Amino acid sequence: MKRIMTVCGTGLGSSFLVEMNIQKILRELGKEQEFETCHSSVYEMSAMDADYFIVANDLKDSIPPVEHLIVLESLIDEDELREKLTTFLS
Amino acid sequence: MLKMLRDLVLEPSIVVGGIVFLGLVLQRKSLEATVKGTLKSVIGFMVIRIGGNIITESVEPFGRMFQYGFHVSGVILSVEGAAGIAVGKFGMEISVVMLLGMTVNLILARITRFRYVFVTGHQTLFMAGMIVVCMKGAGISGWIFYAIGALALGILMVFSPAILQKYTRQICKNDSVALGHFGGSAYFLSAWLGGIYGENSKSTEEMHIPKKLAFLRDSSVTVSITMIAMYVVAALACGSEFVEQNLSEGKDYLVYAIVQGLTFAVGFTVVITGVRWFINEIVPAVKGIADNWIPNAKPAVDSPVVFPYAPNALIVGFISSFLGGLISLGIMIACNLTVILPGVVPHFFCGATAGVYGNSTGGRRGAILGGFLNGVLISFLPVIFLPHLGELVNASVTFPDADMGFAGVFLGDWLNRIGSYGTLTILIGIVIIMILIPEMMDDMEENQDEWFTFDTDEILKESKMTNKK
Repeated sequence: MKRIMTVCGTGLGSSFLVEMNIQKILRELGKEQEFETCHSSVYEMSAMDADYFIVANDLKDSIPPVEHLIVLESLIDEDELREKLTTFLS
Repeated sequence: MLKMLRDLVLEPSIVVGGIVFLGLVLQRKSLEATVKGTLKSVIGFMVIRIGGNIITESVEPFGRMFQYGFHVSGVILSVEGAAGIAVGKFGMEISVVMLLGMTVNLILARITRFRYVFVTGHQTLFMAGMIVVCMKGAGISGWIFYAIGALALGILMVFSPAILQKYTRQICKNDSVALGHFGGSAYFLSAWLGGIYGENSKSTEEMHIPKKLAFLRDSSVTVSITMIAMYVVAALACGSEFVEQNLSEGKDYLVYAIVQGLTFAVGFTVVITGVRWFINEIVPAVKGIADNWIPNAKPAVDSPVVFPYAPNALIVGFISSFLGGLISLGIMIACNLTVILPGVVPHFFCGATAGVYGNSTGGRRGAILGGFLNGVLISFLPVIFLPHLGELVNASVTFPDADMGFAGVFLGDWLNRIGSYGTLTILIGIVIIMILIPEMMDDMEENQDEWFTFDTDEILKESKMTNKK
């Protein structure tokens, strides 16, 4: 099982929102058994915490380098998230 | 046996667990998910209280040092700190008011035209803390305590996103979400000021901002640095003798100050961790109800959703907000008022968001003005509402965010002057007005262009805001 982590400033609000959207998209794609999701903050995360990381573009310089990173232009645009997630996970 | 039962229902963590358990059963979750979710919420709740204790322990000596060194009381702005302490003292009341407030929010979203569902769980918890502390300060108890708390919280949860929606729509280019962050009134004023004074100002996004500032986003680092700085300044002001004799038990006063500053940062991260566990089941439940039960619901989400649209405005807003805080600090010292020390996290999150809203209407000038205004607002509002805070008056740490400030100012004032029944009447009156004004909202949605250009409407809205708060 692979792990997807969303990251925001304090790991309370916006990362949680994106995580809920990801769960919805995974269910649509029928992949909810293959991935687990979680959310965290910039100051707690480390590159070993997950296989895929998702941040908004304002935070991309504030996190340590990770192998698989999706940068979102908008945290609320589900279509953008779905598109990027689908290409990334396939 | 009876004693055990009584102790059980009076134990805040059990009450919280019971509420979450009931919620999960009502959602027909599996046994495993129900047990897991209930336990996690209870643990989160208890972790918040422990974080609150750590913060109380660390700010108490700070308060004494500041008082001794500067002869005025110094108060740190930290919503996590203040809410942590509040949950430690009134955990049960806060969780019940939070739950009832969310229910009022859902009902208002369902029956009025304001279809905003506040899904920023931590902000709801913090605001519930502010309201409960205020009411406790006024000495209210019984059913009316929960009635006022629920209505006040529920109304604010709709009102704060509503006043911002027209700007949020512009920033996000999307009308399906709203901003749910209790700095709303400052963001509104920021966007409004930007619209007036920001003509022809270029957007912040054309500026060059050094990448080095990216570390500012790491709250644990910024909190540690600023807290150490504040504690060291306070320790220096009262000298080694006072600290080593009264507080540090002989330990070197600067070492002691650094350790206490770091302890504050520990409390901060513990509270945030607890809040994350605590809201983990609550937020999806609210969102689920909104998605299934409220047609065209607009989820009101945390302020960082507007950050990606203007990354430079964040930094501009933060710096000008902090500057506003520092200048306010100077004025307070000069006027011998209670000194409100700029906490870096509220200045960051609220200042940055004010910057984004200011930038959306008035470019750079708007972002600078908006951030600055936010800084001044969150510094001076606590001076006004602090006397109403009862047990938290002398806590040396208080609630910063602007809506919480206005809530404290107005709620405290009403409760003092017209009593609990008067306040309840006002709140019910606001609800009735909200139900009765669909025509006005219709008019606004049909004539959006007019609303964007017609200035008297802004003034009208602003006066409405002060009335409602």
